[in-house]
Amino acid sequence: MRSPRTVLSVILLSCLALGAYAQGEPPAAELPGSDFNANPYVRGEQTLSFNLGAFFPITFLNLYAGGTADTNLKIGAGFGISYSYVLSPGFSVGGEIEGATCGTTAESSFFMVPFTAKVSWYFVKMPFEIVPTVSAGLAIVRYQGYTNFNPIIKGGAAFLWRQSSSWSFGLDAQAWTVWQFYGDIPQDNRLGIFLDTRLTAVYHL
Amino acid sequence: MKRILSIAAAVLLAAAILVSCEPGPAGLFALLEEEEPLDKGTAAFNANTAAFVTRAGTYYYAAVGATLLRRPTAGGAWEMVTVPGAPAGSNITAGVSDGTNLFISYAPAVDTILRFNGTIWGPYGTIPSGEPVQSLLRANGQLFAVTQSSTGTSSSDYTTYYSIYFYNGGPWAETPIDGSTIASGLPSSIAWDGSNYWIAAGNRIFKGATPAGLGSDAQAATAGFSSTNPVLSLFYDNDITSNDAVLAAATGKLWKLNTGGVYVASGTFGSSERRLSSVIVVPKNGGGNATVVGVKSWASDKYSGYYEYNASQNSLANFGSGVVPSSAYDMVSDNSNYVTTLDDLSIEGFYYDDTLGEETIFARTVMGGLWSNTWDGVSWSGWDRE
Repeated sequence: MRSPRTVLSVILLSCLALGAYAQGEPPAAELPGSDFNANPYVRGEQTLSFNLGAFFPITFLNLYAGGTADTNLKIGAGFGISYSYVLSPGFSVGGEIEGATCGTTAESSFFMVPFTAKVSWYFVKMPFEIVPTVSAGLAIVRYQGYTNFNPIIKGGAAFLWRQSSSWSFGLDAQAWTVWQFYGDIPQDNRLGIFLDTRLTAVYHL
Repeated sequence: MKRILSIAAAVLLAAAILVSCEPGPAGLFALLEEEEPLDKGTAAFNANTAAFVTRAGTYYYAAVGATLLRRPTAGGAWEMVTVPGAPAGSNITAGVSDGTNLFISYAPAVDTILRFNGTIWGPYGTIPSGEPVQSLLRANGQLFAVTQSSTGTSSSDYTTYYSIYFYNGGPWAETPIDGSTIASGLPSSIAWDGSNYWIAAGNRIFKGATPAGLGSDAQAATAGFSSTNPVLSLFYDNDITSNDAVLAAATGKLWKLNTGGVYVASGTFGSSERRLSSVIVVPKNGGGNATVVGVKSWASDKYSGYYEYNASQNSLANFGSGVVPSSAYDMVSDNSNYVTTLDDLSIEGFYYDDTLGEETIFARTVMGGLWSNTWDGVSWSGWDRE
């Protein structure tokens, strides 16, 4: 359990440090107009996001027999780092590495690390931004010393406040769908649904 | 940008390749949704190794260090038991029962065996060894005690020897095994197959029709038992219809001993270095019986938990290299219960109480507490902490 705590601590400290660093920059209202056009997300714009928050297990959907089941997971913690590159005005592609950890009913631990590629759209009403995102990739799922690699598809949106030309802060909520398919034992096929809610700090490179 | 996309693609490709390299047991979410809450356990047992667990009368008894505990067989909390005459500074090394009386031994106090008849404690016979009693063994109504002696003063010349004594109503008598003490290892397990006693002592097997007639069985050497391949447990399975089995748990394999000739080996259990610490036969979910084989982690192999297979394979006609563990872990629990309980714990030994209506398996784990699993006549409850 040391690793998740260490990562959480590093990300939390990083967010605090970045926030403090951002305090040294001019506030959004005082920036020259050229820094805040109607849509600042033009081709070539890049961002780096740091996320930390709560991770909510929702349900397991039985893909073989139908129905849902309790996940037996407790509310946990989620964190991540992502990168985006704006391809066209208001649209970016990127990648994300995240982690989520939960305790279980039987006192075990559960851990997921998704590696995903993502696309995002930017809707801007200065100083606020709404950023819907869809991402897909593979998740490393670790439970009781066993590891699976499963496809993951995520979707959600971030609500951001542009604090300066370099920083935005806000909330991000993502629904995770983790797919477990087993050809030899189809009765174990499940779709895991989770909700990841995070505080996010976005650095505009 | 192309470079970034290439890196992302490479990461996803590598992950996809790893899917086929280390899939783990299928159905992790399916396992999770079957999880059940576990009992917090008794503080005296948690993170400790119980020296024994056994049933005497309507109580289960177990010991940790110098502490003896008991609980009603029908259920309830464990309570400490005061033992009058317990030697100060000694730990309880072993405990066995004849169903009514409880016998326990202490070390490093010498020659100390106490009996509890449910009401009164007292010494049980007199052992003339002048050495501590490290183990008690009981089969066919016969009680044996194992004493330990040592020679030498440094690691280079320090040797441990054991002697086996048996109780015949008078003073304890030493079993004259090959006319000498035993240097092969602690005599730790016993089985009676209706004709012979079988006692495992490290890399040697002692066999005899009477307590005074035990002798070293030459087939043990033929089987290749050694200091790194010791026999840690014996069990007599008489539930099969023919060719009943004295099973021995060694390293990497089980062995069937009472073949009338050379011992017969099973297939490999996990790996050739896996230390199989305990073997027992109990009822199986779905009918029939299961053979449960505990695994003890050691320097050369850190594996833990237990294996299981259908006990119908224990007859001489079926036993052989084709006997290998089942991969389902559902014979005495369900897969989810197994992975959240004993899967990561090193098994010191099993004890099975076959009293009708109160059938219970206990698992003594190495520094992982005492666990039990109860049979309701149809299926097992699943493992939980005591």
